[in-house]
Amino acid sequence: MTQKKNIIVGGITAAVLIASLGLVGCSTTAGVETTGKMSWDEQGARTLEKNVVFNNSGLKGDFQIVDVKSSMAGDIMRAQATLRSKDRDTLPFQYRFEWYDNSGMEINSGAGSWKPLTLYGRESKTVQGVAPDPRAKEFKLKIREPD
Amino acid sequence: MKKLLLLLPVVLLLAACASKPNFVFLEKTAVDQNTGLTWAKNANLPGRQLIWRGDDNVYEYMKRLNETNYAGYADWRVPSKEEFAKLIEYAKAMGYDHAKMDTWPFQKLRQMGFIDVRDYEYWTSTRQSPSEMWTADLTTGAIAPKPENRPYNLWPVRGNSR
Repeated sequence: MTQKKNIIVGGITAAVLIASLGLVGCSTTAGVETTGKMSWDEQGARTLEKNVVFNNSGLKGDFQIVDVKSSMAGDIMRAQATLRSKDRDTLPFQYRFEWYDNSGMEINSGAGSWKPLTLYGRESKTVQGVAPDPRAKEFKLKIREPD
Repeated sequence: MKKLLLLLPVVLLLAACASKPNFVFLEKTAVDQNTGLTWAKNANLPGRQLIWRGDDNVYEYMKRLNETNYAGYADWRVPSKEEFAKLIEYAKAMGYDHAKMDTWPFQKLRQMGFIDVRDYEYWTSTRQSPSEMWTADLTTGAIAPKPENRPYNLWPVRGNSR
């Protein structure tokens, strides 16, 4: 009987452990994540591979990301995204830029603070970020609802 | 005799087709009178080797060169494999002997009046595969494909081959 109880407790503990490990591994912003990765075409011209992921279906109805672009200021990467509200109401958000090097390692991990962003009804707004140093070849713009 | 006279125009035509480049050197350029191409007189304008795909690459250098109107022109480009082959062929025709380094293409091109011709490979604009471009080695005159992420020299040219 005791052995059976031990097996059950052990099973539950393992399940909780696996679940929590899974959560850590899939850690994302419960909002919107826009990525821009610098690459080069066949001629050698810079291109930007873009991707927008909505991890919060509620936000998908609030606004859309209509444009993502990047440019170089000397050897420093700059990024810009344009958001357009789909709502008639004023919507508060927070955003943050994260920067990654060629091998996908984050630069100054966790150093960027969340900044407030207010989108008025049907308004379009542009947010910009500048990489902390020349190693940056990829950025992530994270947008979430305020705490 | 009649046969010889008939062959004469053919011989003359072949001789005309085989005519060799004839360069006119100006302050910053060298014009090939036969092909119509204008080469930069300095064969190492960037002063360093560049990669094809990545930071500080050939494309970005050529863009800056054209923005600055180098030698008064804004249409500089990377020579094709065939254009480099002709240049090497010309340099070799001046007396190439593999055993004698002073007859190698880069030396002959220097002797002609080109500045800082490197004894190494140069980029061509001709693609071999998704990750390789043809390069021209001015040491031996070999033209071979090389990976885009390795640094090689750049020698800008302008105009179109006739």
